[in-house]
Amino acid sequence: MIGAIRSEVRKVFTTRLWWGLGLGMALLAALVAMGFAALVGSDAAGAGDQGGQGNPFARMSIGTAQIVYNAGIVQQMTLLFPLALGVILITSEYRHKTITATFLSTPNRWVVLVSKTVAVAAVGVVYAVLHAAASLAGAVPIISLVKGQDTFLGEPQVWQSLGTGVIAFAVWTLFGFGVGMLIHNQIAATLIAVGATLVVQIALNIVFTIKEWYAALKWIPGNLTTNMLVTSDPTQGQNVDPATAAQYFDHWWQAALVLVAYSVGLAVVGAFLTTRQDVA
Amino acid sequence: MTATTGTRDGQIRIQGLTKRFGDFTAVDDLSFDVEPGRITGFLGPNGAGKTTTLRMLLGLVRPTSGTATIGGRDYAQLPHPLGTVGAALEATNFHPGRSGRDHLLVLADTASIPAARVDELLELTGIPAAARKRAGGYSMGMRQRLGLAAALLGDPEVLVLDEPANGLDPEGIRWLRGFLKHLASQGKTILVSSHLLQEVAQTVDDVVIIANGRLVRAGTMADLEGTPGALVRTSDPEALAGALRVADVTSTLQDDGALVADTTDLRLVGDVALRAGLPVYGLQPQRADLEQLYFSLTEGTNRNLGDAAVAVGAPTERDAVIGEEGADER
Ligand SMILES: Nc1ncnc2c1ncn2[C@@H]1O[C@H](COP(=O)(O)OP(=O)(O)O)[C@@H](O)[C@H]1O
Ligand SMILES: [Mg+2]
Repeated sequence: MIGAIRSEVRKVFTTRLWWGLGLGMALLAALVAMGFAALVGSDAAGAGDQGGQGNPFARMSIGTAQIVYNAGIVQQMTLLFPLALGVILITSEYRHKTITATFLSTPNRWVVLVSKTVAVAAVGVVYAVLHAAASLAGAVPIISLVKGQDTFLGEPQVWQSLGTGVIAFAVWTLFGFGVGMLIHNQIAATLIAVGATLVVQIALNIVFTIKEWYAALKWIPGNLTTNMLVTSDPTQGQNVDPATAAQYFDHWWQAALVLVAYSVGLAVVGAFLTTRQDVA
Repeated sequence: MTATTGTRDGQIRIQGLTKRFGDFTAVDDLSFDVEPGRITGFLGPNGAGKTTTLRMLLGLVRPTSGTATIGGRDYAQLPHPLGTVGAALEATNFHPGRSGRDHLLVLADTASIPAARVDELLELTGIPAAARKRAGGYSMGMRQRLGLAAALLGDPEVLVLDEPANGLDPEGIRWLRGFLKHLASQGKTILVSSHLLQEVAQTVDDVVIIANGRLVRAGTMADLEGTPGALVRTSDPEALAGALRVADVTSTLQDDGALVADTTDLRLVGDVALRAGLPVYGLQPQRADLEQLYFSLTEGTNRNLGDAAVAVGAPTERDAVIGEEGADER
């Protein structure tokens, strides 16, 4: 098992994919964080009345810091990178037929897939660190130098949020891995994973909001991720409609558990099918 | 699942192996053994079911029924797969963005094989420098060599090679022959597939020939070739046959009037003819025409060629070989 894990980790880091995607993600994370930081202290931010949720950027708070330093994730943009990475890591084994050599060296396919999961989660951790560093590098100078506001970097809750990012990245990489195991065609799997994240999630958000099914909103993976990362109310109690509070879990770890359950569930279904398929 | 009793270490045993893809039977109730310490050629036209059989042997494809074991065990049950069986299935199984050396290291990790062994094999297969470049740019010959290096990583007793000569230039094929002989001299069991008998005839000890997923012939190469003889042309073959019989040599008359004596002693045939006062127009060693033999064993049975082969009438051997290669491009 140790050998199989070492093999999978080496696989990830011996092609250019991980740093190519990582670089793209870091750049985007820095840009989005800069954009969010630029909103701090502006009245126009939050585009007026967001269903009675108030303006999270009115002035810096712990919650605001959590949003700004995870801006790419909250915007559901940078998570597409670990998602794509997860998809490509498994589908490229089928595309280039290296899966044959993999299963020959480790005939027990469950061992292979568990090892891959560990490797995939390990890359998730690397991405989380990269993402946090890039976001801070983008946002902190603007907040402290341009806006002249407190960066809240002395707050444990802010650092906890950045640490929780590790779970977010591991989970989203695993989502991609699960989709890739279900759909071995690389292009189809990537399009479906990205499409589901962008289009389906946004559609569900709109439908649930229109129908006022606020309690259903909190089960959407993107919202769960935000729920996990933003633990402090950034609006500091400005005119919040109590009905909309139902769209969040009370504790970050509840959201984390649901997310982990989703991704592991998807991966287990994919793994089950993969262990039974012929490798031609 | 079954641990077949009576199989030795390194013996491959295929029993009643069948694989259906939908209602198409790719491998049909196939049974044969591969003996340890010998090179066995696994032959059949393209589409005969060789790759499917080997993939079932290696636990990659699930048999519809039957078993395929190595030393009495299913591949998936081998405690040290890389140290027991080395396999090279297709020449294209590399990630184009990963170097050949890294590809081997990835496999070596799973069996805790040190990097030094990887470099040793790269030397042995003659690609130490090239293996540090990304595999995307490798020639077919380099891919085959890298595939062999991967198969040998764990110093296995059994080697399973699927069409290792495909895409090799004549120089590469020569190298491969020598390499396989070298491995066999170390007592390894080698199962090597090919769609061309001539390609492996000089290398293999045993042959297993299949067509349409079914066994058509299994035995030693020597049996397949039959006893060699001497082909002699003379003015009166019947008289020479009689003279040879007196010298205790049997012979058969061919349609074209040539006589084939069942001896390798050309000098004896010449002497007998001289004593009988018969002129000799031609005298040469005669071996079985393997190409003809192989074709007749698998003839007209290539389902992959379909109606096209029928439409052009009885194909010549040359056509058949070209047709098969064409079918492979599908
Ligand atoms: N996964 C598959 N699905 C359907 N047919 C297949 C599959 N794999 C192989 N076949 C068919 O089975 C036959 C045997 O193929 P194969 O074992 O590759 O032959 P060979 O290696 O002798 O050329 C071919 O007709 C091929 O098209
Ligand atoms: Mg084949």
